[in-house]
Amino acid sequence: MLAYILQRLAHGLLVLCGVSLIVFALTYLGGDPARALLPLDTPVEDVEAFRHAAGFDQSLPLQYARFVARVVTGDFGTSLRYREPVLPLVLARLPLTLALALSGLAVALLVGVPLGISSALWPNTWLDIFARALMLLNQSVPNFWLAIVLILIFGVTLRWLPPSGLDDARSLLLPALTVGALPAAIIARVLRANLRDVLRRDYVRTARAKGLRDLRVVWRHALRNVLLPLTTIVALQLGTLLGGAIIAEAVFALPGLGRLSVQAISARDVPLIQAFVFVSATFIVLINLALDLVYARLDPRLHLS
Amino acid sequence: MRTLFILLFALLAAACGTTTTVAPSAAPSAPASKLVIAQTIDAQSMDPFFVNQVAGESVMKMLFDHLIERDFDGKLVAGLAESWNIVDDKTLEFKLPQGVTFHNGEPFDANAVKFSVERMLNPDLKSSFRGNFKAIKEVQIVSAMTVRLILAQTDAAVLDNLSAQLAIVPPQYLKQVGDAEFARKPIGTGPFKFVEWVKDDHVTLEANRNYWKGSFKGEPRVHTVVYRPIPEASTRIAELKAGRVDIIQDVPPDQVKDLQAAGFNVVAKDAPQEAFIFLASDTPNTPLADKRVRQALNYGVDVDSIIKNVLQGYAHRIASPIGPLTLGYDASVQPYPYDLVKAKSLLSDAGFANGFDVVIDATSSDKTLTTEAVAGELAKLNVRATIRQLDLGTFNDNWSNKRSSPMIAARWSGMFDPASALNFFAKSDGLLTRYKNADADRLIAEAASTLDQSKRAALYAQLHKTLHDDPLGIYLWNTQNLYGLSKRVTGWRAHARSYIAATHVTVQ
Repeated sequence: MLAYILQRLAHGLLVLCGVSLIVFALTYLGGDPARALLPLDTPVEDVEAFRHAAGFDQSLPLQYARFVARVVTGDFGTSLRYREPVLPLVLARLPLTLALALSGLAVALLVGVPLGISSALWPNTWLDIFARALMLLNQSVPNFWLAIVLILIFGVTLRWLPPSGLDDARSLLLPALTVGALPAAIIARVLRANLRDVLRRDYVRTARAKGLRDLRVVWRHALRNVLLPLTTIVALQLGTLLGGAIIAEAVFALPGLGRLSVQAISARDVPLIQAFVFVSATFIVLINLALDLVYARLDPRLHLS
Repeated sequence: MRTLFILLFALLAAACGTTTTVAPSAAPSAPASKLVIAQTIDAQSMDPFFVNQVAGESVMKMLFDHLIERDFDGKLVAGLAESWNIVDDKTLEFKLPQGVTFHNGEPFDANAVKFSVERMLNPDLKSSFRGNFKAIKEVQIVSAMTVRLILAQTDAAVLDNLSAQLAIVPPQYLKQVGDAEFARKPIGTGPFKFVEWVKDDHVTLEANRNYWKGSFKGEPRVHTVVYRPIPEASTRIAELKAGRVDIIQDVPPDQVKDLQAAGFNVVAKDAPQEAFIFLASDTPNTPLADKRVRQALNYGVDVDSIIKNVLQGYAHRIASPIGPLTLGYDASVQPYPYDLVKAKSLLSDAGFANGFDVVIDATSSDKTLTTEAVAGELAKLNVRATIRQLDLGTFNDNWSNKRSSPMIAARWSGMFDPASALNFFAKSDGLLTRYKNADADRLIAEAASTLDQSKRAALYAQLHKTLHDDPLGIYLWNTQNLYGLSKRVTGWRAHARSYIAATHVTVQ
C-alpha cells in the first residue's frame, strides 16, 4: 500500500513539473507583461526599470530556473498588483472557493442521486419524465444565467437571501445551487443509466427471487455496483465544480480564488497566476490520489500493484 | 472593464488659487447612517501612490487630500494648499492652512508636503506615477506653512498631476510603520478614516469628525461608508433593487429606463473620457496616409446614430481630441456632419472609390459593440473593416511599438488638460503617434513651454481646429458615466473624474 501511495505521489510530482513548465510558458505567450502592468503613459525608462526590477529582462531558461528554485521553497514571489507575497493571498482565498465547490457538490449529490435512483427505479413514469426534464434543463442552462435568475427570484423579489456578497452562511446557498446544478444533472443521468443496467442483471433477479425486499435489493446489491461509476463521475465533476465556483464568485461578488485569479490574469499579475495554478493543480493531484485510494477500497478486484 | 483607462492629466485654468478658511469642524449631529456604494472592481491597494484605477480612487480621495484638487465639475480648486502661486515658469509656491491634522492627530505642514513629494520621487518605492513628477527638482520649505516646488524644466502638466496623483501622506506615521503597514492601515487627512479592507469584498470607512472646513469635498454626513466591488452589472442592479446598496457605478445604458421605472434615480455625468478610432497615417502609400480618406471616414460614420442606438444617447460628439471639458475647447469647431455623398466623393478623389480592406485593433476587455457599429458604418463606404481583438498587454505592446493595425479603437480618460495625451498620440515623436502634422507639432511644443494658462488655452484652441481639419482618428464621443441611486440617497454629486465621493450624501 505504501509503495502504491509513493508511486501515485511520484506521478503527481511529475504532473506538477509539467504544470510549472506550461504555466511559465503561457505567461509569456500574451506579450510583454511589463507593458500590460503599467499604464500606457508610463515613460519608457520607467518601463525598463520595472522590467528589470521584476526580472522580465532575463533569459527565459534563467527566469524558469529561478522560478523553480523559489517554488521549491514555497516562495512564489510578490504579487505585482497587491505588492504582497502571493502564496498567503492565494491560500487566504482557498477556503471560500473550497466551501463553494463542496456545497455545490453537496447540492449535486442531494439532488442528483435521489433523482437518478428514482428515475431508474420507476422508468417512464411521471416521476421519471419530470426527473429527465429537470436533468435536461439543468444541463442546458448556462450557470451565469441561472445565477442571475436565482438572484432575481430569491434576492430581489422574495428577498429571502442576499443577492450577493458574503454576509453569512446563507450567502453560499444561491452560489451552491448555481455551482451544483450542472453536476447534479450529470450525476443523475449517469446514475440512472448505470442503475437501470444493473437492475437487469442476473444477480439482482436472484436477489429478488430469494424474496429480498426492493429497498434491500437496491441498497445492498444494485447501488453497490453503481458506486464505482458514480465515484468516477463525481471525480470528473470536480473541474466543473471549480470552474462553476469561479463564475459564481464573479456573479455573486464573492471574494474567492476565482475572483483573485481572473483579476490576476487580466492584470497580468504573473506571480499570482503561477501560485493560483500551482495551488489548484496540487489540489487536483491530491484529490486524484485520494480517489485512487477510494477506488481500491470500493472495488477489491483492483490490484494495488 | 478595462478599456484604455489611461489617466492623463495636465494643468488647467488660471494659476490663481482660491483662499479657504480652515478650522476643525464641529462633530456632525450623530450621523449613525451607513452608505453602501457598489463599484465594478476593488481597489488595487490602500496606498494612494499605487492606485491608478477609478474604483480605487473613490476610496483614496475619501482617505486623502491633495495640495490642489479638481472639484466636482473638474475645475482646479484649493485643496490642502489654501492658495498657490506661479512664481515663475519653474517655481510653484503653496500656502498651507493652519490646524489640519491627519487621522492619527499628526499635524499637516510643509514637512508633510516635502515628505510626500520625495516619497513619490523615490525610485525604490516604484510608484507608477513617479514619471509624472520627474520635473520636480527640489521641494523647498520656506516656512512651516509655505512650500515651494522647484522644477528642473517647465512642466505644463505638474499642477494637474498634483491634483490627481500626489496624495499627502503623514511623514511620522510612515517612518514609524513603513510602507507595507501603511498600505494595511492608511492614514490621511481626508473626510473619512480607514476601518477595514477585505480584498474583493468591501472597504469600510468611518466619518472623520475633525475634517477640515473648506474642502470642496465637504463634510461627511454619513457615519460609515462601505465600498463593495460587484463586477456584474446585473448583480449591482439587483443589490440596488433589493435595497442593500445605495449607489451603483456603471449602469448599462439599456438598463436606465428599467431602473427609472422601478423608482430609482439615474445620474448621467459628463466626464472627459473620449472614444476614438485612431487612424495610422504614418505608412506611405496606404489609404489612411491620405488626409482626404481620413476626412471621408469622419464624414461617413453616422456617430449620432451610434450614440442614439447603442449608447442610448448617453454621450456627446467630439470634433477633435479637445473635447468640451478640455482646456482650449472651442465650440465653433463642430464635429463632422454625417454626409455619405461627401465621404464617397472624397474617397473617390483619393483613388479609393471601391473602398479598401482594413483591420481595427481593439482590446478584448473593451466593450466591442460600439467598434462593431463603427465597422458597420464603414461598410457603407465599402471600407471593409475586420475587428482584431487583442488582450490589453499585446494591444498596448503593439501600439507603442507601432506594430498595431491601421485602425485602433481606444478610449482616453482624464482629458481635462490635453498636454500629456497630445504628447502621446498627436506629437509626431509621441510614444503612440501614427500621425504627422507640422502645425500640430509646433502648437503642442508652444503650449508645453509656458505655464500661462490663457496662452495655453489659445494655442490648444488653434490645435483643436488643426486636428479637426487633418484628423488623426475618427472622432467619436465623450462618454457619460451612469450611476444608479436609491431614493434614500440625497445630496450626492457625481465627480467629473468619475470616482464616487461619499461626502455631501445623506441616507434616510
